[in-house]
Order: sequence, then C-alpha cells, then structure tokens
Amino acid sequence: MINIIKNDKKIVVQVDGDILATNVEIIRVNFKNILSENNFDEFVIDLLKTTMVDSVGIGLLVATHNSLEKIGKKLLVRNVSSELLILFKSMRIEQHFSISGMEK
Amino acid sequence: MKLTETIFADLHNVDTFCMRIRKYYKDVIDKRDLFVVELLLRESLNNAVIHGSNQDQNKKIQCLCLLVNNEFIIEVEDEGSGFDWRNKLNDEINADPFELPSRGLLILNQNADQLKFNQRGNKLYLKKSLRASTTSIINVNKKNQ
Repeated sequence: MINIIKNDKKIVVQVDGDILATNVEIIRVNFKNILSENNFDEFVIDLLKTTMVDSVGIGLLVATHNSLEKIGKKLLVRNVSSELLILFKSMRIEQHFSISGMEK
Repeated sequence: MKLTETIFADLHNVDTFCMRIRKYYKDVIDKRDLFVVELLLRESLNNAVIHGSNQDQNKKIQCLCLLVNNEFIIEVEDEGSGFDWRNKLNDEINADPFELPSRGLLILNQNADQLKFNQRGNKLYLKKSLRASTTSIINVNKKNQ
C-alpha cells in the first residue's frame, strides 16, 4: 500500500494506489506510525501512482498537515496528476502546504 | 451509453462500481472528463452509503449513469430519510474548504454543471457537460479524410 524512503531529514512516502474512503484508515495508521517512529523535518507524500483522491482522502491530507504543523514539521505532496492538482486547488490546499505536479 | 446498478450500502461496492465506470467509458470520454465523472459518482455514492444509509449493508442504493449528447448524467437514490441539503450546501459554499469537516457536497457543487436533489433529499441528480468525446473526435476525423 505504501513504500517509505528515508533520506537525511526527509521521509518520502509513496502511496501505491488511490486514497479513498475504503482505505483511508489503513493509510492513516501507517502515516501515524511513521510520524511517531522517525525524526525528520519534511514529510513527503508521493502520488505518482495515485489516480483518485476522494473527499475522505483529502481529509486525510489536511489532517496530516495539521498534525505535522503542530510539531513544527512540513508536509509536501508531489507527483500530483493534473486532474488532482485542479481538485486540490479548488479545496485551497496549496495555500497551506506545498503541492507539485508530475516530475519530468 | 447507459449503466444502471443497485448496490448494497457498502463502500467497497462504491469502489467496484466506480472501477467499472472507469473501464466502461475510458474509450469514449476524455481522460480529464472521466476523472471528474468518477469523482462526482464517488462522492454521490459515498454520501448515499455513509449519510443516507448509515453504512447499513441491508440498505440498497440505486444508481444510473448516462452518456448522451456529450453530457454525463448521474442519478443516485438511497433508502434514507434524506437531509436538509439546502442549508448544508449553503454552509459549505460559504466556508473555507480547507477548514470543512467534510467536502463531498462542495466537490459535487463545484464540479457538476447541474445539481438537484428531490424534496426529501434522498435522490440526487447531476449533469456534467463534457469536452468533445473520443467517439466524436474519431467521427470528425473520418469525415475529414
């Protein structure tokens, strides 16, 4: 479901698939464990293999940002498809944490 | 192109039906439009399962998907008592979307060209105008050859 890459003070979490109401709790538990078990400055969620994020999945991204902000850490979401970028911007996500499109 | 389905109120059934829609329309609807169609369908069905049916797997949800004249129509009806969609929608439109506890209704309102509920609030009708479909593009190209 997710793959973790640790790099200095950065943790990259690659999500292998969509983030939906059906699997959001599993991903939430994974994120929580990663946050509590590691020392880092930046938490990067890589959505290269993610086509769809529904409203429950967006809620998870927002909650993750809020948890990280409380402890002075940063959330970055990268490799976001053009369709998801439009959706995230309509939810004003980019005003709160960094989101970026597909890396070439 | 029309698809109708009756599902029991389980979120896994939403996933199964949405994957079916993704495959069924992938050759005739532009990729960007198909994303929006799937998003609208997912949020409609999620609402029907979570709020309309309280995830009671004995309850049924009826769904219609129809592609006609470059418009995609979605109808979703659950067996619940409905909700005050006017006030709920009004609250969500006037709030900062980042701060909302749930965003499903707002996503429907932002992405559909037409959104209607019945009086009771347990039946939803959505219409989305599409870009020129792949089928139309192919037909135009053939005429020009």
